[in-house]
Amino acid sequence: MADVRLENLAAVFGTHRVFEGFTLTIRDGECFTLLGPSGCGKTVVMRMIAGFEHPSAGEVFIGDRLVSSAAKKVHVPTESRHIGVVFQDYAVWPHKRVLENVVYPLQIQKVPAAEARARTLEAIAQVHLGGLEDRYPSQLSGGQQQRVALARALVSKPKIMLLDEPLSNLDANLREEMRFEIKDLQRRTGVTILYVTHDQEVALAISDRIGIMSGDGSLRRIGDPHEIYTNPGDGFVFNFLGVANFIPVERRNGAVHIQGSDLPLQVEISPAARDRIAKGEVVAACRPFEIDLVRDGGATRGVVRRRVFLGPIVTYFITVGAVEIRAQQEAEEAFRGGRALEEGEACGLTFQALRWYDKASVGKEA
Amino acid sequence: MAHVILRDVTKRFGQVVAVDRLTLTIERGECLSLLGPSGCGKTTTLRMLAGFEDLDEGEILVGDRVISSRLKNFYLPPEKRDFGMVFQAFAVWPHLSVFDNVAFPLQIRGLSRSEIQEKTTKALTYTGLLDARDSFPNELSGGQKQRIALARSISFNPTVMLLDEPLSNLDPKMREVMRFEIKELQKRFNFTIIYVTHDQAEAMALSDRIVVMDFGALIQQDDTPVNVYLKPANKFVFSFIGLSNFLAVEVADGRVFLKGARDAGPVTAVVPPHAPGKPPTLACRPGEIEMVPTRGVRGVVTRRVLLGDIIDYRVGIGPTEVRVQRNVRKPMWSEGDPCSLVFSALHWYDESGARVPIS
Amino acid sequence: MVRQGQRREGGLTITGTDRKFGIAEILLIFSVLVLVIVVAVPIVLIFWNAVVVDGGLNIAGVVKVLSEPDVFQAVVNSLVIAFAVTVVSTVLGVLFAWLVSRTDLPFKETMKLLFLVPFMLPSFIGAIAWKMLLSPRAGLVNKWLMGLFGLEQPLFNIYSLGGIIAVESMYLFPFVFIQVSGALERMDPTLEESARISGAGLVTITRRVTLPLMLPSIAAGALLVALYSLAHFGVPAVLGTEAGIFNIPTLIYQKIYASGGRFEAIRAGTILSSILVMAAALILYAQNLILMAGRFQVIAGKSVRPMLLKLRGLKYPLLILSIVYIAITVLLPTITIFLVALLRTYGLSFSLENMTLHNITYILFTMKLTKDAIWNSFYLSLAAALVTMLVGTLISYVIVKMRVRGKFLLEFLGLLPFSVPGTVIALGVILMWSGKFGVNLYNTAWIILVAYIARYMAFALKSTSAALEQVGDSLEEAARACGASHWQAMKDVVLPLIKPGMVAAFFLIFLPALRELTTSVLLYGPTTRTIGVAIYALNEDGETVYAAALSAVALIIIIVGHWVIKRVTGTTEIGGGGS
Repeated sequence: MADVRLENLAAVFGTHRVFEGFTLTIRDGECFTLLGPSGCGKTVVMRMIAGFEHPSAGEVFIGDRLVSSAAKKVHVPTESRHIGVVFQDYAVWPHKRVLENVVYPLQIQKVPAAEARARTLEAIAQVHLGGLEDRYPSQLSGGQQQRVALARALVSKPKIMLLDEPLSNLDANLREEMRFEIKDLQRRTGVTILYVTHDQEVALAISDRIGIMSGDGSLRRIGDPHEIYTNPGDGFVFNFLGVANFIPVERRNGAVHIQGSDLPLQVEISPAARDRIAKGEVVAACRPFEIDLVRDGGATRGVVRRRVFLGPIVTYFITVGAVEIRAQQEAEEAFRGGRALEEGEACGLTFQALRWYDKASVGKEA
Repeated sequence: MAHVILRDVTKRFGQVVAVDRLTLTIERGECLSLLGPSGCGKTTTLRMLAGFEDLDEGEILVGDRVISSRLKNFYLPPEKRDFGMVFQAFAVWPHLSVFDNVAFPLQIRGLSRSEIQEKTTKALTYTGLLDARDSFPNELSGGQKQRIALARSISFNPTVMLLDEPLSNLDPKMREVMRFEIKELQKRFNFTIIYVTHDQAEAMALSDRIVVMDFGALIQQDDTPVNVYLKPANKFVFSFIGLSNFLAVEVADGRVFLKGARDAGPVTAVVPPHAPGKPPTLACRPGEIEMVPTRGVRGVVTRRVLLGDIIDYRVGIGPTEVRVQRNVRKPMWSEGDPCSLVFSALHWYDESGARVPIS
Repeated sequence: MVRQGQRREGGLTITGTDRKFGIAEILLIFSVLVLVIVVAVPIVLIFWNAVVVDGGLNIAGVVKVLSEPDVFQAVVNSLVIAFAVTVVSTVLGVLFAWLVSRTDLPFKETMKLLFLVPFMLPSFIGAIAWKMLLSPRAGLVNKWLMGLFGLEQPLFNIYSLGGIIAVESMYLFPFVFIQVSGALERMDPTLEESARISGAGLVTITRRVTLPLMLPSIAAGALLVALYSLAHFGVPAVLGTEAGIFNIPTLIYQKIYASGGRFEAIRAGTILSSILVMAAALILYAQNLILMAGRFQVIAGKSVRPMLLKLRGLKYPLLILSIVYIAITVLLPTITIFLVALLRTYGLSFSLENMTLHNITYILFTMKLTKDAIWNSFYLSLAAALVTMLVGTLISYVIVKMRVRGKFLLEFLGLLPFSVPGTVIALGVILMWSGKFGVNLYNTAWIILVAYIARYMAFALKSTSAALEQVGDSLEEAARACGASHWQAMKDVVLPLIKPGMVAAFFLIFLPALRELTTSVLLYGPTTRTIGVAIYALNEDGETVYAAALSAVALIIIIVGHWVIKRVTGTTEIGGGGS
C-alpha cells in the first residue's frame, strides 16, 4: 500500500489549459474522492497517476517512487506502476471469460498457474461473483461486469486503485449497492483508493476525504465528508454538495432586507457579516430544509408560488420580495400534520442557519 | 365531466396479455399518470388511445363518441383523433425548422396562412421558442427539442394530450424544468393529460391523479399523489413509490414486536387483525421513523452513510435491519451506538400484498 | 456490432503515447511510403502523362484528343449510360426497398435475399447471358418470340445503348436498394407516428416526412451507381463493342490493344482516364456533401417495428410483379448460363441428348487457358487479400489509435482509390511499373497483384478501421493497468477483437478480386489471364459454350464463397457486445 503525492501538476497542451499548480497528497490506505463537474480535469489527474497521460509540468510520486516528472524527463510506464484501474465503461474484455479477465494481471506477472487460479477465484468470491467464472461478459449484467472489473483490479494486490466514475452507467438501486461493496472491499484490503466522480452523493457516502475541484481545474476544498458538508467554505462548494438557496440582500434604513422585501430580516448577523453586507460583497445562503415554514409570524414573510409533492418531502417555491426561495416540509408533517401550505398562501419563513458567501464564489452552476 | 373513457380494454401480443381488461375514466382537464414498471402495459395503453394499436376487446370513448371499438371493429385513425402527442425521443423532424415543425399540424388542417402564422407564433411563445423559430432541431438541446414537440402538439388546441415518458431522455435538471413547464401549459390551456412514466417522482409532481399499474396494466391504485404516497393500497404500490422497509413481526401479549427481537421492546400496542400465527408484514418508510436515545424499540446503529441532506442509517434490531433516513440537521448517531426507534406511520400488508386496515 | 469500451478524441491519449521513442513515427513513414508507391504515384503518372509531352505542358494536345470523334463519343456515351442507369436503378431500388421494408408484402425476407443476388454476380457474365437471349440473330428469346408471333424482324437488339443500360441497371440497382431499405428499417417510427397524430394521412407523411428523410440514403445509393457505371468495363465490352458503342473504359482498352502500346494510344488513354478520375472525384465529393447535410439523426435507439402499409388489393399483383422481375433478371440469365454450359455445341436445342458435362470437365482439367486462369485468379486474389488485410490493419492502427502528426496524409491516401476506377489504376500501374523506375513488371502476374492491391486497399482500410474503432481505448488501457506492455496489450486484447473485422476485410477483397475483369483485362499477358479475362476472351473468340462453362464454374465458386463467408464471420463473433 502506498500514498500518492502530486506536486504542482499541470496539464497545459498548447492553448488548452486544463489545470496548473495542482498539489495533493492521498494518504496510504484512505479512500479519497476527487469530486467536480464534468470537464474540470479530474479524470486527467487520475490518468496522470495511472500513466496514461504525461504531465506538462510537476511530479507524481507513488509511495517513494517518482513515476512522472516533466522536468526530469521521467515517465514510468503504466504497466510498471503496479496499480489497479476501474473504468467508467468497465473495460471488461468481451473475448475472455470472467476467469480469464481476472487472472490476466497474474499471468503477466508470471505467477505460477496453480497459485494464480487460487487467487483469482478468491478475488471473484470477494466481489460475490462465485459460480460465474466461465461466463462471457456479454452474458452478465452491468453490475456484474463492474464487479469483474473490480476483481481484476484487485487480484494483483496493487498499491493503489483508481476508479473513474465506475457507477455512472448503473441504475440507481445498483449504484447504491455497489458503492457499499467498493467501500467494504477497501476496508478489507486496505488499498489506497482514488475515486473520481461528479456525483456528490457517492463522494459523501464512501470517502474518507473529499477534494472538490471547480470547473477551472482548481482544487477548492479538501476535507472529510461531514466537515466539508457542514463547512463548505465557499458558495461553489455549497452549491455543489446539495440544493442551495442563494439570497441577495440589501441594506435599508440600517436593517438587512431580502432584496425587494419590505420586511427586515429577523436573524442574528455578526458584525463582520454586516460589514460585508454593507459593502455589497456577499449573498446569504441556506439549504431548503434549514427554513421553518409557519402560517403566521416568521423571520420574514413571503407567498407560496408553487408547491411540488415528490414523495418524502414537499417542496415549496416561495416568493420573498424579488427573490424566490426554496423550502420544504416532510410529507408526513405536511399532510398528516395539516401543516401543508397552498399555492398562493402567505407564509412565514424562519431561517435556522444562514451563511454568508462571497458573491464571486457562487460562480457557475456546478 | 368524463372526458376519456376506457372500458374493458384488452390487448394481447401472442400469448402475452399486455393490457388486461383495463377500465378507466379520465375527467376533463385532469392530468392523469399511468405509472408502472417497464413492460407493464402503460405504453401499449397509450398507443391504443392514440390509435396506433387495435383493441382485442373493449372500447375507448371521448365524451360520448366511440373512437376505438373491438365489437364494432371501428377505429378512428390517429390522424383524425385531434390529440396532441409527445414521444420519449422527441420525434421532431430534423429536416424542418422549428417553425415548420410546429406549424405542420396547422398546415395539414388547411388553415389560412395568417392563422397558421398566428397560432404557431403563440405556441412558440408559450414554450419559449420564439427566438429559435428559424433554427433546426439538430442545433438545439434535448430540452429544447422536447419543447418543440410540446409546441407542435398544442398549436392546434387539442383537448387531449398524450405524453409517453417525455422526460426520460433529459438530464435531471432539465427534467425538473420541463415538469414545471408542462404543468404551466396544462393550467393555461386546461387540456386533459394522460401521462405515461416509470418515474414516480415525475408522476407525483405532475399529476392530479396517479394510476399505479402492474403487468397486464392491472390497476393497483388509482388516487391522488398524496393518497398514493400516504396510504398505499398494497405492497406493490408501497414499494414502487418511495423507499420502504418491510419487516417481519410477531405478536405476543397483545403487542407487536419485530420478529426475533422481543426483548428490544414493542413496536406498537395496536395489533392489526390477522389469522393466528400469521401476522401481516409491517411496512414503513425510512423517513418516517424517529431515532431517539431510549423510548422506542432498542437496537444498534450498524451503518451510517452521509448522503448530503440526508443521513442514511441501518439499525440492527435482532435479526432485522431497519433502514432509517434522517435530515442532516437532526442529531447524529455513530456506527456502533445503541439507539431506539419510534415507528409512527405503520402500514400493514398480508401475504398476498393486500392492505390490512386498522380499525 | 456493439461498441466495446470508450473512445477518446485523437487516439489513446491527449498528451501523446508513451512509446519507445520513434516507433510511431517509423510506422507512419512506412505506411505513407506504401500508400504513396502503391496508390498515389500511379494516379499522378496518369495526370502527368495526360498533360505533359516532352517535358512541357501541352493542353492543346489534350483538347485535340478530346475532340476526336471516337473519344468525344465515348465520353458522351459514358455520361448518357451512367445517367440513365442511375435513374433506372434509383427508381427500381426505391420501389423495391419500399415494398420490402414498408408494406405487408408476403415472403419479404426471401424477396430481400433475392433482390440482393445481382450484387453477388459479375455483371459481364450477365451480359453474356443476355447476349445469348437477346442478340438480334441468334438470341433465344428473340427466336422464340419471332416464332410465336410470326415476326420478320427480331423484337430486341441487345447490342445497343438500351441493352447496356438495361443490363447494367439490373446489376447495379441493389446499391440503392440496400441503402434505402436499410434506412427505412432503421428509421425511428415515431417520426412518422408524430406526423400521423398531427393529422397527416399516409400520402402526406410519405411526401413530407419519409421521403425527405430518405433523400440522403437515396442519393448515396444513386451516386454509387453512377460511379460504378462510369467506371464499368464488362457490360459495354460484351454488348457495345460489336455495335461500335464505346464508353471510356472500353475505348481505352480498344486503343491500347489495337495500337499495341503506341504512345498516342496511351496518351489518349491517360486523358480519358483523367476525365474519369475527375468525374469520380466529383461524385464522391457530392456524396460527402449529401452525407454531411444529412445530419438527420433518424436511427431509432430501441428496435421498433416501423409502420407498415396494408397493400390490400394490390398485394398479390405487386408480389407477382416482384417475382416476375426476379425471374427475368436473376433466374433467367443464370439458368441460361448453366444450360448453355451443358450444351455440346452452341445453337443446338436444349434437349437431354444435347447436354453433356464435357465442357465443364474440359475447362477445369484440360484446357490450358482456363486452368491457368482459375489458378491465377485464386492465387492473385488470395495474395491481394492477404497483403491488403495485413497492411491495411497496420495502417488503420496508425490512423485510428496513434497520435502522430501527419496521419491525415494516411487517411487521404487511403481513401484515394475509392475514386479511381479500375481501368485507371491499371493504366497507372502500367505507366509506373513498365520500366520507368527500373522495374518492369509488365505481362507478369506481379503487375496484376500490384494493381489489385492499389484497387482494394481502400476497402481493406475501411473495414479494418471500422473494426479498430469498435475496440475502445479503455480496453487497451485496462490491459496496461494490469501490467501488460503496449505490445502485449495489442496481442492479447486488440488483435483478438479485430480478428472478425480482418477476416471480413479478407473476404471483402478475395471474392471481388476473384471475379473481376476491368483491371486485369488491361494487364494480362499470355500466361497471366484471370477468370474474368478468360471468360471474356472465350466469348470474344466465339467459344460460347466454353465461356458459359467457365462462367457457370465462376458463379458456383462465388456462391460457395459467399456461403463460406457467412459461416465464418457468423461464428467468429465470440461474446461480442460488452456493455
